[in-house]
Amino acid sequence: MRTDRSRLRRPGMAAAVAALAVAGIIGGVGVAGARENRTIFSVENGIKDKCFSNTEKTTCETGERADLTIRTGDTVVWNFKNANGMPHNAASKSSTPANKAWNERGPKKDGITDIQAGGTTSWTFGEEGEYQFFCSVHPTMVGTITVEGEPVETPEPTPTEEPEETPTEEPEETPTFSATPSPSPRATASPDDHLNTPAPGKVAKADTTAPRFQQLRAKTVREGAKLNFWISEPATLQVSARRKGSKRTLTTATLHVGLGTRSVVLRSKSLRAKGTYTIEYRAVDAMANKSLAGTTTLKVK
Amino acid sequence: MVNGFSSIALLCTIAAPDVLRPRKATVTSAAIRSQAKSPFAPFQRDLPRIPELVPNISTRTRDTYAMTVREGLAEVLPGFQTPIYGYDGVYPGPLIRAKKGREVVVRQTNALPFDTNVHLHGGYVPAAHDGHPMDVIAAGGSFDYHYPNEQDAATLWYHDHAHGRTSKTLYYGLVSMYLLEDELETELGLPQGEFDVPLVLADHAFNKDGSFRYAENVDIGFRGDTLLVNGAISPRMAVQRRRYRLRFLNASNARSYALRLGNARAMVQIAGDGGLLSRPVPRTNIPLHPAERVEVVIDFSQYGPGEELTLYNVDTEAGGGTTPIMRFDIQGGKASEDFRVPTRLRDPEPLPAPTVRRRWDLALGSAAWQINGLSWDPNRIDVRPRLGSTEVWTFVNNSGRVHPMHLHGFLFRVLERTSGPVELADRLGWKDTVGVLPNETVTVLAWFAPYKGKYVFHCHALEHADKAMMLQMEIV
Repeated sequence: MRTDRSRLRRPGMAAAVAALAVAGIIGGVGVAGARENRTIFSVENGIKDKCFSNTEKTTCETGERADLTIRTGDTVVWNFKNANGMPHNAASKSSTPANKAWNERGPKKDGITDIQAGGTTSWTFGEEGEYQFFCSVHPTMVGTITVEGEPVETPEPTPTEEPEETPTEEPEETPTFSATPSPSPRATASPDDHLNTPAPGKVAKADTTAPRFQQLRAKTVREGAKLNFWISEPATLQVSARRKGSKRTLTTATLHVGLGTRSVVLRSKSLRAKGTYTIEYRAVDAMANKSLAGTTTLKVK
Repeated sequence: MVNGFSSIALLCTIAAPDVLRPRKATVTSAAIRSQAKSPFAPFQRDLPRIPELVPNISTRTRDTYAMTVREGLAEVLPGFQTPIYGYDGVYPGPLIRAKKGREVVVRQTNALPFDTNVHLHGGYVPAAHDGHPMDVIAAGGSFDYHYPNEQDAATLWYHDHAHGRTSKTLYYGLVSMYLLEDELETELGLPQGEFDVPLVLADHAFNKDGSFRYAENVDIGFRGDTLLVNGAISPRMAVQRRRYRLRFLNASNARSYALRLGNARAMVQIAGDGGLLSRPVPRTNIPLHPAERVEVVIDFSQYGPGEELTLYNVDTEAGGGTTPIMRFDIQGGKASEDFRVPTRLRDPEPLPAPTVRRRWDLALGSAAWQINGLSWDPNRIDVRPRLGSTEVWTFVNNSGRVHPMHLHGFLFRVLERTSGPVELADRLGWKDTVGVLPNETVTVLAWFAPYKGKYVFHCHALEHADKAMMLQMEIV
C-alpha cells in the first residue's frame, strides 16, 4: 500500500485511488494512520424526496442536508447506493477560502462523467475551510464539509468509481438482419454495452476534398429540367434556375445524392416556356467541403 | 444553468405576452460562445431547406436509397463547424419523399463506432424493419429497411432507436423527415414543391468551440437555450403572398413547444401525426410535445409586402433564445393561386369496438422511470394485443413531468384527457404520440393493425426512454 501511495500523485492512478478509498470503507483501515473516511449518503425516494444525509436511509427529513466536520487529510465518500436508479453527483458549489482544486471539480465539463446511479465518489480534503457541494442534477440536494487542521498533501483528486448499474447485454442473435455485419477497421472489438455514447467529432477522417462533378448536362423533361452528371462522393446539392441574363431566380431545389452517375429533376412550370435558362449548382459533402458554383445552360425550344 | 435562463425570461413572457418581440441582445450560449462581434440575434440566417434524398434506383413499384450513418460537420454558428452524427453526415438528415403503395428500401450502413438502428416513427412497418431497440446494426454493418408505405399520407420521421443512447444520438443529429404522399393529397390540391416546407425543431446548447453541448438530466430531460429550425438558429424565411403548407416536427429531446404566430394570427391545422384530419381546424396556439407533428396552412396573401410575421414558442418553459422560432418575411408581388383549404379532408375509418381496457401508470419507481412499476426488459413481453383489435389504453401520469407516450407501428385516437377537453384537431385525426401532462390521465383508442410481432411503446422524452420508460408488446 505504501508503494502505491507514493505514486498516487501521478495522473492515471485514479483507479488505484478509488480502490484505496473502497478498501478504506470496507476494511476500516485508515490510510497512513490518522486519516479517516467519512461517508455521505444520497437519499432518493422519487421526485419530491431527495437529499444528502449523514446516515443511510430512504426518507429525508424536511430540509435535510449533509453537514460534516472533518480533519485535514480525511476522505469523504459519497455513496449513491440509495439512488432509486436516478443519476446523482457531488458537484462542488463553492469553498471558503477558495480552493482551486475543489472548485474545478465540477460538474465536469461534459456534465456526464461524474453523474451516476449507484456507485461512489470520494474526495480527500487537504486544506482547512468550508466546502459546499450539491447534486447538479437535483440542486436541492446540498451539504457542507468543514475541514479543520494543518494542511496536508493529498492524492490526485479524481477517484470516481464505476456505477454499480449492470450493463444491458447485447442479445446473442440478431434475427432480423439479412446482412452479416463485417467489422470495419474502426469498429470496437468488444460488444457495444450501450452505456457510453461519445460526442461526435472524433471518428471521421480529416477530409478536405470537395465533391467533383463530371459530364454534367441539363435537358428538358415534362416536370421541368433534368440534370445528369457523375459526382465523386455523396453530397447535398443546391440547384437554382433563372432566365439567361436575368437575376431573378425562378426555382431552387436542395437535394441529396450518392456518389456515381446520378440525375436530379428541377420541378417547375416556369422552366417550360421557350427560351434559354442558366442553371447554377453547388455541392457540399458531409465534412462541409463545398465545390465551387458551376453553371450550365438549358435551351427550351 | 440552462434552466436558470429560462425561468428568468419566463417571468417576462407572462408579464407581457404580446410584447414578445425578441430583444436584439438575447443572451444564449450560442451568443456567448461564438464570441460574435455583435450580440447574437434571431432571424440572421435564411431557413435551410432539408435536402431531398434522390433514389439510387427507381422501378415501377419501388425506390431504393442508400445512406451511411456517420459523423459530419454542420454549419450552425457563423464561422464554426459543429461535429454531428448524421444520415450521410447531414443534419437534419436527407428527407425521403415516399408515395402510398410504392415500396421504399433504404440501405443503412453504420460507420459509427457503436450500434445504431433506424425507426420509422409513425409508419406501419413490419416488426423486423421497425427499428426495435434490440435490432441493431453493429459498427461497420448494414441493413436494408423495407417500408411498404401501405398507409395514408402522413408526415413521418426516422431516427436512431438503439437501446439506451437515443438521448445522445438524436441530440447529435440522427433525425430526419419521411414524407408519405398519396393521391388524396394531390386531389385536394395542397401546396407542393417549394410551398410544402418540412420544419424540424430542436433545442440545443453550444460549447465555446461551436460544438453541441449536452448535459444529461434524467429527471426533466435535456433543455437547450437555443432553438434550431432545420439546423439554423431561429431563421427567417422569405415567403410569397400565397398559402404555404408547413410541417412541424418536434425533434427535441424533451422540450415541449406551443406554436403561436405574432398577434395570434390564425393557422389552419390540416394534419397531425397520422396524416390529414377529417376537416381543417383554425388554431392560434398549437402545443407540440416531443416527437409530435402538426401540419398547418398559413395564408401569407393576407399580409403586405415587407411585413414580417414571427412564430413564437409560448410554452411556459420558453424564454430567451427558446421563444422566437422563426420569422416569415413577406415578399412583394401577388402570386396567382387557386387553392383554398377544402372544408373536408379525409373521411375517418370505421374501427372495431374495443375489446380490452388497460391502464399504464407513469412514474418514477424503484429503478428510474417506469410504466406500471416496470422498466424496459427486452426478455419480457408486457402486453399481447390481438391483431386487428382495438384497445382502450389509459395513461396515468403520477409525476411532475410531461410524458409524450408513443406506440411503435400503430396509431391511436385520443378519447379523453383530465386536463380539459381534447383539442378538436386531436379528435379529428390519428396520432402516434400523445403528451401526457403532469398528473394528467389520457385515454386513447389504439388500433393494432396491420402487422404482428414485437414492438415497443415508450415515453418519447429521450432521457426517460433511455432510463428505461419503455415496455414491449407483441401483437398476436
